Amino acid sequence: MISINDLSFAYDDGRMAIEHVSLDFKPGEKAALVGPNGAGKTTLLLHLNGILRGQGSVVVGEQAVDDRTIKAIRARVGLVFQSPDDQLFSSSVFDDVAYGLVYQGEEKIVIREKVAQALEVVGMPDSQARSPYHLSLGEKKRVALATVLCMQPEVLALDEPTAGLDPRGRRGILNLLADLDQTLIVATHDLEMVREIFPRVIIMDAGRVVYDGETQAALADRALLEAHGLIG
Amino acid sequence: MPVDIEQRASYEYGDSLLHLCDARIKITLLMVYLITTALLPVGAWAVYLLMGGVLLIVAVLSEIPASLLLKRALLLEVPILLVLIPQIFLKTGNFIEINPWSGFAFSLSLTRLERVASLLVRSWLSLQFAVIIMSATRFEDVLAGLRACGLPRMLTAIFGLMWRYLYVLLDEMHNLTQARRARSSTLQGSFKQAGGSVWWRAQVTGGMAGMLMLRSLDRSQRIYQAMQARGYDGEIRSEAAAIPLTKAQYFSIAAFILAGLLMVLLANGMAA
Amino acid sequence: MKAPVPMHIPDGFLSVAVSGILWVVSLIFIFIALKKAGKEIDESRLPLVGVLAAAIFAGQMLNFAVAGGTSGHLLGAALAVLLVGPWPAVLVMTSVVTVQALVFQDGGVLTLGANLFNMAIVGVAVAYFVSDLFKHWFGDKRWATLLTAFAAGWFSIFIAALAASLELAFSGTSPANIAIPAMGGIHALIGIGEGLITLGAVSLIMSSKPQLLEKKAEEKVGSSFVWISGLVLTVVLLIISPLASSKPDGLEWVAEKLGFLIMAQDASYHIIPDYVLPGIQNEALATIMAGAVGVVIVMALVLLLTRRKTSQTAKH
Repeated sequence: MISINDLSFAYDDGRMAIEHVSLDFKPGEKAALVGPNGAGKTTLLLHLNGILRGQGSVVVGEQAVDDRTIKAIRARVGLVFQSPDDQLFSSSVFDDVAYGLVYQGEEKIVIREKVAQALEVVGMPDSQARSPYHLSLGEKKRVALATVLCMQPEVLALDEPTAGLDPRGRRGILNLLADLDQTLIVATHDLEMVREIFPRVIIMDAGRVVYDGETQAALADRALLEAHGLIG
Repeated sequence: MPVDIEQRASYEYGDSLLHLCDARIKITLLMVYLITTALLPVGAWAVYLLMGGVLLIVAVLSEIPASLLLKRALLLEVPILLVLIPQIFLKTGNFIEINPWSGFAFSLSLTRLERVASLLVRSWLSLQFAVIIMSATRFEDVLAGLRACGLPRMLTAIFGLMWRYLYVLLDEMHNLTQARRARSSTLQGSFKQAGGSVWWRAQVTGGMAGMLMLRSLDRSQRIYQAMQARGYDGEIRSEAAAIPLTKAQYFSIAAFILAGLLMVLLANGMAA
Repeated sequence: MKAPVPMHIPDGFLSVAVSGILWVVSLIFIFIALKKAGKEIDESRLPLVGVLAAAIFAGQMLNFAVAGGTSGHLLGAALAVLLVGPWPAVLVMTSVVTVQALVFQDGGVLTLGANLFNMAIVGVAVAYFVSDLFKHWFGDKRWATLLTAFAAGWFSIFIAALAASLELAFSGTSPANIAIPAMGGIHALIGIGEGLITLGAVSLIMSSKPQLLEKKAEEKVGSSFVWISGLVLTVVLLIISPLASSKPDGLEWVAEKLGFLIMAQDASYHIIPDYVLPGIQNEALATIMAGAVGVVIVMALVLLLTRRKTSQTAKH
């Protein structure tokens, strides 16, 4: 589904954010991206739909990410940012969820239907007229997910979906993620969630992939987790 | 996502003579240079060259790479520039007719041409000089210097707060636009007109601006609470008194002004 | 890192006399604003003014694609007025314009007084006057509030641009019949972007936190001064500009008599507004045509330049 080949990205000051990363994701796969702060997880996610473009290649399906394909790829890979405040900028939940569809030039009736559907999936069916500004963090995170879900992407890339949530909010997101059938790539510090939902885990540290394999095996390896700052 | 802060901030780290110089002196030097340049008459090319020499000396003193300084001074506004250019085709003063091919002719006013060229040179000198001075002076020091020169305390406080939160809000704005970009897609093989209407795009952008304002107002509320929590009672305490200028510093300020006056006199003498 | 709204006059483009006078005018206005802020506005406004200035600065980087690679931008004077009232808005815009000049060299240092006058005083006063007038006429229904926001945005940009072009003409930098149509023409278009973004922002704030847009109690105190300034500036600039651009020699004559044209050495030359356009005998027509040609050239170049820039950066 997604194939990343020898990807490197440097910040403007020359520091490497990610170095020589190669990864493959199969359709429908659920993979977690873990690692300490500054490991390059977010940078990697931003490459999946071409927000950042580094050295090396990212191929989605059969399309390589380049100037020509970028807008089509953004329809196939949905990116949900860590802070929902970055994603919500409209005066109503409806407008925010509809943004991507309106941009695609979808017809009004289809937009209404898809927005309702997406909000149903994230468990916020009655929030259409509300102002995103007044939602709780948990609600904002759900709506942010809906803004991407409504475009029916094949791949979902989420950045820290459970960070900052209370236990009930977190549980809600967990159930939601477990039920999705899209390819799921999630950057997180929440190892409990990884254990529960993701069969595959990728550990990153200082811009490199240091482990890629089964979650069970990784989480059982205390030395590995400690070496990369995953347990305190 | 860290944005290219280095690129944005105009201050370049350094410990050159110019960096270490008192901000008040640098501000005076800048003002004298700017006023002198503005007072120079049209076509005083020799004096422009002299002013360029002064600029070169200060640039060397700053020890900042010339390429960087030059790049930062490439800031001409297109509309303002084009407000300037068309006048050279006016039939005024000393003008010539140019007839490149039959049936087409235009006039070129040499008087106006010299005027426009003089203006552009002096404008560049001023901009480049400001770039050098500001690249070698931290904004905090500029503020302290202005404060010492009599800038009202409240304005210093407001500028300071703005400066403190400028990059925070620039990053917030950057994140907003990045998230908007991530959702701006077209369907493959779709013949639908992507991008929405101009009206809708303007509304979305306006919404982003509104959200930015709302959050900044909330943030200012929290900042105020934090200030109160630390004992702020609405009265801005005076900061430590500025060190008085030394005799040598007063002397150098007088020298700048004298040199500026000389330049203006020289230029006018040559023009007459 | 420069403001995308092209209104900042660089150093060297204004005569010392024009710069000096506008410095004095601006300082007086800012001084009054500080007095008001110190007395009547409660102290929690200090962080508000500083942070809002930072937000407006950041908001000026927002854009939306219009057509052919051009994009709409925000200057922010009208938005500041609608959010915090006229006097604090003067301080907000003062901070924005000053930091732009001092830190990013966007707009000159000697010309800062003039840029403050155009953006922090004319922009704010006109936005306040227009928005108050529209509120008075149309009430505060939703559509009326949105119309008010648009009008405040458009007028603040357009009138400020007229002020800037008159300053350029008065300094002898560019003849009035070039400066005024060119600056005015471009900013009549730019103002639409400003108006639309202001409208969008107000629309969002109305549905999220409408109490922010209500008239503040302290605003009533001393705001009539800003209101009258806005009225006078709007009317005077709207009348003078076409007059000056049809009689550019008149303006230069006045400026010369007053000693503003320090740079204009060719005192004895005669301006015949007889333009490049061959075959047009009518003086007024030639002037208008020349102005139009100027605007077209400027627009074409702006289109060309911004297209290159946006294709590099803003592919949203």
